[in-house]
Amino acid sequence: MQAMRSRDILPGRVIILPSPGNKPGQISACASAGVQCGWGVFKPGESVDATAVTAGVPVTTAPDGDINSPDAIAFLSELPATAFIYSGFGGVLLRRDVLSMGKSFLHVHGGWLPEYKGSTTNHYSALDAGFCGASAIFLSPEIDSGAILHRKRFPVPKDVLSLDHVHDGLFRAEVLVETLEKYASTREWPKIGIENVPTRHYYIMHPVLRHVLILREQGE
Amino acid sequence: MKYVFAERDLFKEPNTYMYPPYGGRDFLLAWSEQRLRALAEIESRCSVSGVRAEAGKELEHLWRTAAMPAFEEIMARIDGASDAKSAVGGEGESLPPASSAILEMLWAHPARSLSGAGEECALAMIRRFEISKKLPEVAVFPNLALKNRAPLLSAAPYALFSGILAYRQFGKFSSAELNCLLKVNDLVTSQLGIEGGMEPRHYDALKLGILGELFSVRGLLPEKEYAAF
Repeated sequence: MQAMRSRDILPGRVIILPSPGNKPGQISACASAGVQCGWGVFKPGESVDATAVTAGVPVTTAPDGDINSPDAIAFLSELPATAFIYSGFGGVLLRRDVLSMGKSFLHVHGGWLPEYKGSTTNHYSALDAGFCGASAIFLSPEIDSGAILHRKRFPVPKDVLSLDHVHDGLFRAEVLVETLEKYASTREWPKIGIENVPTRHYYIMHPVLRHVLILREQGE
Repeated sequence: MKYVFAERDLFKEPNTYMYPPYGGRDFLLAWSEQRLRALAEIESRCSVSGVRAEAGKELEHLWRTAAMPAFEEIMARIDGASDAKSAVGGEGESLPPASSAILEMLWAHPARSLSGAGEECALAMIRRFEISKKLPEVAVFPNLALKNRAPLLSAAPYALFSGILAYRQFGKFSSAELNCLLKVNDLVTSQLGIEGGMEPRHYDALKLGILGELFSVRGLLPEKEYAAF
């Protein structure tokens, strides 16, 4: 959202899916002053609704935090938007009821598709092949398997410890904004012409492998 | 520093592995020391010589007395089968195989885990274990779903799983599968000293599993970190 604001490519509305107990997001718990990046200063501690307010984008809270719930589906289906930019809780899959309401859900996966599907995929690609990535897709019922609209590789950050809460988000934001810019200029969603073929899934990386990755990057 | 990921009974309280704190080299040393202590503990319980003969006797006993389909039958169905589900049965069949039986079969012939239906079984087990931190007692393919099914709560079959995963690492290295091996070894080493039921072939497999894990991780480290091991 901060990247979108910096490039003045804004959504018509921000819909907040409330977390159970209205707990704040994980990033706000480890907020740092700010991270210099290509489009300005990324502030991890700034909430998405605060960014929306400063950008003049109206904010609405969905009736249910579970996007697959009947209430959330009914709410979303009545909105005039034909496409949503979706960022949800880890591990939540959009079910067929949501995906069949005639709207598209654009999501940016924190990893290089199709090869790196699943969880902590930037950690695996960094460990295996020395790069990170982000890929914009339209969501489908299978994990990380929708059509790939745009993707990009990034070097592994020296500060691998911040990969989860800072750099992964920056990678995704850059790919999202570039995808939206392509759409804005052509009024068509881009396609990269590479099929998102079935590949192995990666699962949350064990702390030992995380430490190996961090020590390797620190040693270079 | 203590290696905390194998400290408690992981059957009762599985690890989530989410956002672990960073502990630097000390963490890796703590992990390797925990594994080496486990190796020392099992060293006296497994025999290096004659283990295959012993394993063969155990398997023969299982073939003759088990209520599930005999290993010959499973192996015959897996050999040449195009997919694991058709090979080992599934919903609607009267006797879906036990996960422990599949693991016994794969450990008895670990090369089978590298290709064909044997590999499909191994990969399905890896996926299920990564998702649920356990395997089901009864293996219903393709997903080995645990919903409404009893989980496999004995360490012994997971020791075989560890050995099979290490064997696969030697055959074709994969960070994704090394990840699973690390989690399986956390589980099995968390059970050492808690339960019985482990026999020499299980310790033999676990020994291979731990050694394979240590060597694989060491191989990923830069040389100056490698020296610490």
